[in-house]
Amino acid sequence: MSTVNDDMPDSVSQELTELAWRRGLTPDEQARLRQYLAARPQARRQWEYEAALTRGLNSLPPAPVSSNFTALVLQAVQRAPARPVWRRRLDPALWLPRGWMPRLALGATMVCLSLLTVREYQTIQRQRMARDLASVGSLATLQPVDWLQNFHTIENLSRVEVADDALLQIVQR
Amino acid sequence: MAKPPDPDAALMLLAKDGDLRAFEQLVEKYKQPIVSLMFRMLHDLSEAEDLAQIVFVRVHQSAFRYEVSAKFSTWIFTIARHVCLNEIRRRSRHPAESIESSLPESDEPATRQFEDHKTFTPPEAFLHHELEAKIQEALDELPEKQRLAVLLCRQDDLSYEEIARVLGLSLSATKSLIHRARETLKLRLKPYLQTGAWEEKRAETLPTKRC
Repeated sequence: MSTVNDDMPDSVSQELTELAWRRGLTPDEQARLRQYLAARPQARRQWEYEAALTRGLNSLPPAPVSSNFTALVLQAVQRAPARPVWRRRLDPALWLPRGWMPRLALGATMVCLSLLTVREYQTIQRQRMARDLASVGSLATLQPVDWLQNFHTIENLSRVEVADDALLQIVQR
Repeated sequence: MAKPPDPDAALMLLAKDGDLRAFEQLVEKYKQPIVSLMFRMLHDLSEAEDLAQIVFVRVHQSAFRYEVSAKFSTWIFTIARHVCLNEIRRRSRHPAESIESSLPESDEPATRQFEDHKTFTPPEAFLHHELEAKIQEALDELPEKQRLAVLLCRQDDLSYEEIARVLGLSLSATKSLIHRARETLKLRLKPYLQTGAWEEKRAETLPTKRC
């Protein structure tokens, strides 16, 4: 015994349904539909509703358009203030790539660059801090303050205005 | 430069370069579908025309950024979708305000001239208007996106892929949206669908049962 699924897979039924939403079926498509409905008589009522709904929607008349509509639009276009050139150039649509994939890629690149910049800044700040800490550390190696208690006396020794000839002779020997 | 395959896109490229005649041709071609879409979405003819006018002004103002990456119809219907959904949101926030306030100011009031298209005989017209009213009523009760999807589905020149682009959804989400909308419509219009009120062209779309 042949099953419904053997005769027509649901994907084909789905395809025909989607086609019927938009337009009348071609003879070939109608033949496929006949085959489908022969195997699945219970679906016929549903198909009738689908077809009736499509016809109902298509029977809606187009809205009447005033005969001077185009003239009114052209008037409005000429009245509307033109966008300044600088604003046009700033328009993101002009420099943003088209499509969500390239935009996502651009966004991701911008985020990565921002993160790298922040990271680089932090590294520089840390290096500067490390240098400052190192120079503070070097203060610890200075001589004790006691060593400077005779600083002024020693300094004044060099200010002797008259040369000590005797001392010089002793040193030269 | 390769010639764009879409003639409307070619006209839009001319309009982009300031050719007002090319723009006029586009208005002539698209005024009917855009006004009809707005009318079916808002059910107000006067506002439908005002919104359609806003759509065309936006098309003209955005011409400088137009690139032939898709069909022109997809682009204009996307603008129409934005304008329409913004208006529905604006209405829900400020129900008393008219769309007239958002139109560019004019020195003289715009007067519209309509032609009378009614050609139905009285009983036929009565039935036709009743059915139309019922469908419109059922459409009005749909969520905006579903209503828009069903109405765009009536546009012959838009494929499902293009409808998906207009709605900003994936193809499967778009089909699912249309399916849900149609299920709701079938439920609401079931008494009329059962009576065979729209049966006159049955043979064209549904094959008769072979015995």
